[in-house]
Amino acid sequence: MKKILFLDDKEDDRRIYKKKLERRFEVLIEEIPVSKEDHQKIIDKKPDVILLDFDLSIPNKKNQKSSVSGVPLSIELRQKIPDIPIILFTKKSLFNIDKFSNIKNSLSCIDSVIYKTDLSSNSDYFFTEIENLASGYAILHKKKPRSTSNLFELLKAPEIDSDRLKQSIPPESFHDNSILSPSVAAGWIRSILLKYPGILYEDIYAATLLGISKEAFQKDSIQNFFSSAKYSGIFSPPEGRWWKSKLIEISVARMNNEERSLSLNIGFSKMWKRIKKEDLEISKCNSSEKTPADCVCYLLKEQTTIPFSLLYPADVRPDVMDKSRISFKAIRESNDYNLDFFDPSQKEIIKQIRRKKK
Amino acid sequence: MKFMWIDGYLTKLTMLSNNPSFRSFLDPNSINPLYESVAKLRGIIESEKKLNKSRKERKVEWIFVIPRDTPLRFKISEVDPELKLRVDLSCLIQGLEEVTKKKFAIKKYNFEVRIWSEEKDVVYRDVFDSEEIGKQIMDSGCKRVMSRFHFDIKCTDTQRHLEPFSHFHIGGDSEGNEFCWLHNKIEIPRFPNPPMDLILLSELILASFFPSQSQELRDDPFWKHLVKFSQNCFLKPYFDECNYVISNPDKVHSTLLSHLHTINHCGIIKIH
Repeated sequence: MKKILFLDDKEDDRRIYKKKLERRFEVLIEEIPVSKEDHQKIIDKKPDVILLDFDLSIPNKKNQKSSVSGVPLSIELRQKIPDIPIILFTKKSLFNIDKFSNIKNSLSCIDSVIYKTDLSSNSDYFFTEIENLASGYAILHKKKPRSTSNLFELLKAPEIDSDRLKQSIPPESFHDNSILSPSVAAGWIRSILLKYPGILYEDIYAATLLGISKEAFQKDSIQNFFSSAKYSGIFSPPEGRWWKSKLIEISVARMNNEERSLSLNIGFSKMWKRIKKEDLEISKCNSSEKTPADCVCYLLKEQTTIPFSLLYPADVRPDVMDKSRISFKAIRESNDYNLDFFDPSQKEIIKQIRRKKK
Repeated sequence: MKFMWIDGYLTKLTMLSNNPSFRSFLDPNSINPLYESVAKLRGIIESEKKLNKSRKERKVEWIFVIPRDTPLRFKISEVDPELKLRVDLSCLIQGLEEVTKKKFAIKKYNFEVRIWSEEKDVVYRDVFDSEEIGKQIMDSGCKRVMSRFHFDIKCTDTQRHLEPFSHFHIGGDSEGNEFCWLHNKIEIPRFPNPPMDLILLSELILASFFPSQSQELRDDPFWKHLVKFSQNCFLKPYFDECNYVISNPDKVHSTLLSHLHTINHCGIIKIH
């Protein structure tokens, strides 16, 4: 059982969430730190993971206030104990102020943000995420990779992906070999490799690569067929990831020459029909109904096509990752995109799409 | 088990698709299709290797495809920027390596290159085009194929005209959305041309469409290494043959062109 250190200034929250967390974790509750000595107490507890409330402003029973709030405390803890994952545990409203900013991305001292309400509604998912985080850090700490190759072994990465994996590591992470420190390695794996599609794929991206719907991809027969492509390295997220290179390799191995000469998103379903006598639901563009789809809408996470979507460089993902695109449907129906990311000709297209909506 | 030639060629294609400098000349939508084509080739080779465990004669039949519906699209050319020229290419190369006999052959190849313009005044000229065509071009995103050509090898099922085994041809089967000027039916002339591959053709495109921007990449030892590998595999047998014919007029009675009409210089080639 992983040891979780839970810091919260509200007594009620401490009681409620302690009870919830105890279903899967050994929970250590600490009073809010009011002095440097208190910070050392946290370190001395040697937790597997720290769950930290953002706002530590309510005084403790002795009417003492915390010397710092959650974020500065996490910075200090990260410096002192870089091998322990830190999760910001807070109310959703605090971070919903600016929907285009993401505190987790901007603060390297925080490994994850979990909202208190989410823990109530979907606790198993988040418990698994916390466990994976703690296990991943523990493995990095124990194995102490000495090179990027050692690090890639912990990911159980196909050898052929080594070059692309290296290209996905931010150049500054190579300075002084810092990529080999647990927190930097964890940051790269979780905030780049697992986050951006390109080397690893979520189900919707894997399905699009193969030209089938997400539901078709999630069928047992397909999941079994591709079982060896499933990501099983450290920090594996509860919803799973797939090695793109392996998905392709497994697919073409069963294709005939005619199927191999087609795009994968056409050839795969033909091959499946031939060998399994089963029609798979083909991927469909969310904006035009055209089949097969060839990309995924960044905002809606739905299958779409290149002619019915626009490039949307909303983040600083490495060049080796798939470019993000936003579908015409999202442009029509959503207001969650930022016009600053588009050039003048794209803005003109957006105007036309939105005008057609009216 | 290691295949001497195809493993080496796959490594070179992987290096090409993984190279950030080369990728910087591609349209962002083309990076994935290139990666997928190379990954498919790898998958084919791996599966052939597994099959070889039960074969008496070890061989690997492979196919490398960049489909026409997801071509390798480059960025807008730096040359004549006012014309907004963009080149794309699709290809199919099929080969056979007989491992036991240490031989490989390119059985079939076809590289199709299209040069698009995305400039309104270039894609539509009212003196030549009907208004209806103009409307269709504008509706399809204001782009048109201004020139197209392909490199391939002799089609054995048609004997309608003499053609060099490995040749270059202007035109070819265009699709409706290309609005191409060139007529599909004009199949001649077929110019004798050495066999092409993705690396050689990429070099040609970079040098022609991005002469100054690609200079640094083309001068890079990494790039030269890739190109020299392809030169050795695809160009050398062809030019050796040409050289032999020209240097030995007493032994070879046909002209070079006639000779190239009949000789299969992509055929089984010994791996040295």
